[in-house]
Amino acid sequence: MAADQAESEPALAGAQETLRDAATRVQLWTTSDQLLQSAAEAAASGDYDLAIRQLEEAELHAQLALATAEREKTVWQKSVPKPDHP
Amino acid sequence: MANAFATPEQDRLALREFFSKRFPKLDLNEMANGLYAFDEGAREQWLEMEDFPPYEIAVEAGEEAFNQPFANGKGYADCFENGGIGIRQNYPRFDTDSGQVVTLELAINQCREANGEEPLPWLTGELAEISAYMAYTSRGNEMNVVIPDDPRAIAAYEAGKEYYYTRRGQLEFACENCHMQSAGNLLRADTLSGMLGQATHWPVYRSKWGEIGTLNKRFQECNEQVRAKAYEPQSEVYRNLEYFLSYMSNGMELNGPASRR
Repeated sequence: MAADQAESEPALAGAQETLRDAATRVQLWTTSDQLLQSAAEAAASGDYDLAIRQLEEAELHAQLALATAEREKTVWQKSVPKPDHP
Repeated sequence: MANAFATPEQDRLALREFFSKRFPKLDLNEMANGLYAFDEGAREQWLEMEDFPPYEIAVEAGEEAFNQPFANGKGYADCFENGGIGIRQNYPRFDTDSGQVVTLELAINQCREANGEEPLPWLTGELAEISAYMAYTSRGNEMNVVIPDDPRAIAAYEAGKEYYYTRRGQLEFACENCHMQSAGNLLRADTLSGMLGQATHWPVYRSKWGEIGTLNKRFQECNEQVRAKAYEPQSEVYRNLEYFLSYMSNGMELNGPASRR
């Protein structure tokens, strides 16, 4: 069933909140803001299905950024050159 | 989180060892010239440009702005040791009063605000020109970033270090992927500069910018190139990053401002 305005508005608000929260913990991808912007434009033009898909994509990108940050916490030190003679 | 492996000085020496092994025939001090340490053709073009360097106008404008008194009669010289001349090598520094890293650009705007002036935009324009002038007066001095015996200072250094080595953005690049692992290699049409000496030559006139810009501008650009959302200029993250990066260049001669592609 096609999405409508009643679904897209809370979805947009929810995605914005999700990204705001994620941004306090990690450096988000540039794509997240682009997708939010694109979703808002799609909703404004009445393409609510596209808007919902892009919001879901934006939230996925935020989750992936968080996952990378979580993984990197334990691996970044492996890249640091170690002194030969400490 | 404190690094269990090494002190900042051990980090710096280990980094020099890394590049010595990677480029055994290279004078490591040449790495202060960025990609021009590796790319002979680009180096020749760059040396020709240095006859009439594109940052020259910015240095002149910066000198004029630096010597322009504030409305209250004071000037930048009143805010800095040695009147602001020949001091670039001491920045960033850790301010134990505020518990934060202070870059030269931050110090310039702090000086303005302390004297009733509006802060200048961080990335380009007059702030970058003043920074260029101050860098120019410091040429030849050796980078001398100090990490005082203060846990907050070491935490700031470690935060900058962690940032440098942590992958981020949709492309999952860490700074070190380009500037340590791939230093000297081509990324599309550009030769990648090495991490050593990366902080000695700022601010920089980049041809692609068409003007002089600060290191924070480059941080933002690098973030966006790997599709990570850039932080605000002079954010704590970027100041800590500059603190770490500058310490890694300790002992190397300052050669800013510089020109780059």
